[in-house]
Amino acid sequence: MQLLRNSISSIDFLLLVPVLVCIVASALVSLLPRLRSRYGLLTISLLATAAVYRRAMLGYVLINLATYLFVTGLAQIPIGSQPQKQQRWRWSIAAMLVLLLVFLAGRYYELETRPVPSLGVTVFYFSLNMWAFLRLITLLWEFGSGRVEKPSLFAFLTWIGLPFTLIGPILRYSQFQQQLSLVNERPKTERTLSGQWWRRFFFAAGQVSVGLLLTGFLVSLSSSEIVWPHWEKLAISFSLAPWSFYLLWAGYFKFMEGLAMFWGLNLPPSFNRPFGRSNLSEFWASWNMTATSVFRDYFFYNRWGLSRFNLYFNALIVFLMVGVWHGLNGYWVLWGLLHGIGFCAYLWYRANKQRLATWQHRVLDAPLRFAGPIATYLYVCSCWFLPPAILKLIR
Amino acid sequence: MTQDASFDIDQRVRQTLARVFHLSAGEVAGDLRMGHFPLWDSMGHMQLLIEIEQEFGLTFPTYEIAELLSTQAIIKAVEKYA
Repeated sequence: MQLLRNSISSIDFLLLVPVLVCIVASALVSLLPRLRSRYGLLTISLLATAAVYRRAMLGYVLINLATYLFVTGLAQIPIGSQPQKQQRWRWSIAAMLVLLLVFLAGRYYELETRPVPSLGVTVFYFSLNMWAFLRLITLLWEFGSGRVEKPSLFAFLTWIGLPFTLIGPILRYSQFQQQLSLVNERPKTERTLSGQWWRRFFFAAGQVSVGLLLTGFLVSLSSSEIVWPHWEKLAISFSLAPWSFYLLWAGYFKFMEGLAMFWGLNLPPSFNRPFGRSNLSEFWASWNMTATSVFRDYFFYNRWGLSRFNLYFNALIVFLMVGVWHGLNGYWVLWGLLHGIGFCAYLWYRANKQRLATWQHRVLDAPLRFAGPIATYLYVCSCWFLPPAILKLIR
Repeated sequence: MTQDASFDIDQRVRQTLARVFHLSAGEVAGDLRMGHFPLWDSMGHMQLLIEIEQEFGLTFPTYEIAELLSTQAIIKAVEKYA
C-alpha cells in the first residue's frame, strides 16, 4: 500500500493533467460530431491549453502571439528572389536567437515561477517551457526557410493548443499542416479502436504502470531509514531509475500518439527501444526522437557560419544545447558536455576504425558487439548520476 | 540544364555516395534514402554532404541540409546550387 501511495504521489502533476485533458478531448471529438469542425477543434485546443497551463495560460498565449506577429510581419517580405529568401532567413535566425535568449533568461531568473498579481488574480506573464520553446523554434525555422507559408491564426492557435503535444512530443508545423485537411475527415471511432490501437494502448498503460511502480519504489528507498551501502545504491540507481524515467515518458508519449488518432492526427514516434543500443549515436537516434530530430536537423546539420562543417564542434554544440534545454545550471551543462564528449569519441572511432587492419577488426568485433550496449548504457547512466563530489563542485 | 549535364551530376553524386559509404556501383543505383545503409545515418549524412560540396565546389544553405535525405533530393539540390 505504501508503495502504491508513493507511486501515485510521485506522479508528476505535469503528466496527470495532460493525460486526463487528452482523454476528454479525444472523447469529445469522438462522441460529439458537431465538434468535428475547425472551430470545434480550436475551442477544445484552447480549453485544453487553459486546463494544462491554468494561471500560466496568459504567459503562454503572449509568447506564442508575439512569435506569430513576428512571422506575420516577416511574411510581408516577398520571397520571389534569392536575396529576398536570404533576407527572410536572416530575420528568422535573428528571431530564433531572441527566442533563445528569452528562454534562457526565463530559466535563469525562474520567471515561470514568478506570478504577478493582476486585478485580484495572480497570473504568470511568462510561460515558455522547453516544449513550447522548441515548437516555436521549428515554426521560425520552417517559415524562414520557406518550407511553410505563414499559418492562418486559426491553424496556428490550434497547433500551439493541440492537447496531445502541450508537454511533448514535438509536432512541427509542417507535419501538422499536412494533416490539418485530413482532420476534418476524421476516422470513425470504431475504425480508430482497432486491434492495433488497443495493443498500443495496453502497451503504453503497461509502460506507465511499471514506470510508476519503479518510481514509487525508488521514492520508498530514498525515504526509508535504511542506509544503503554505496555500491548497492549505485546499482539501484543504474538499474531502476533510468528505466522508471524512460517507461514513464515513453508510455506517456505513446498514450498521446494513440489519443491523437481520434482527431485523425498521426504523431511521430518518440522512443525506439533506446536502452540496449550499441553506441551513443544509436541511443540518441532512439531517445525522445521528436525533440532530438529538431536538434539534429537545426544544430548538428549546421555550418555555424564556418566555411566547412566540423562534426566534433557540432556535436559539442548540440549536446550543450540539449543540456541547457533541460536546465540552465551546472548539472545540465556538465551533462550536455559529457554526452558531447562521448559522442565525439564515437565520431573519432567511427572515422578511424577503417584504418584498422582486418585482423584487428576481427579481434575487436565480437567483444565490441557484446560490450557496446553495456558500455553505452553505463555511460548514459553515469552522465545522469554524477558522483556527489562533482555535484558539490558544480552547485 | 542539359540532359548531359544532369546525367553527369547524377553519376558524380552516386560515385560520391559509393565512395563515402564503401559501396559498389550497383548498390548506389535507384533512389536511395538516408537509413538505406547502416552508414547513412546522421553522421554519414554530414560526411556525404561534405564530400558532395567538395566534389561540386558548392555550399548548401544550412536549412537545406536536413531536406537532402535521398539521392534524388541531393541531385536536384546540386543542379540548383551548382
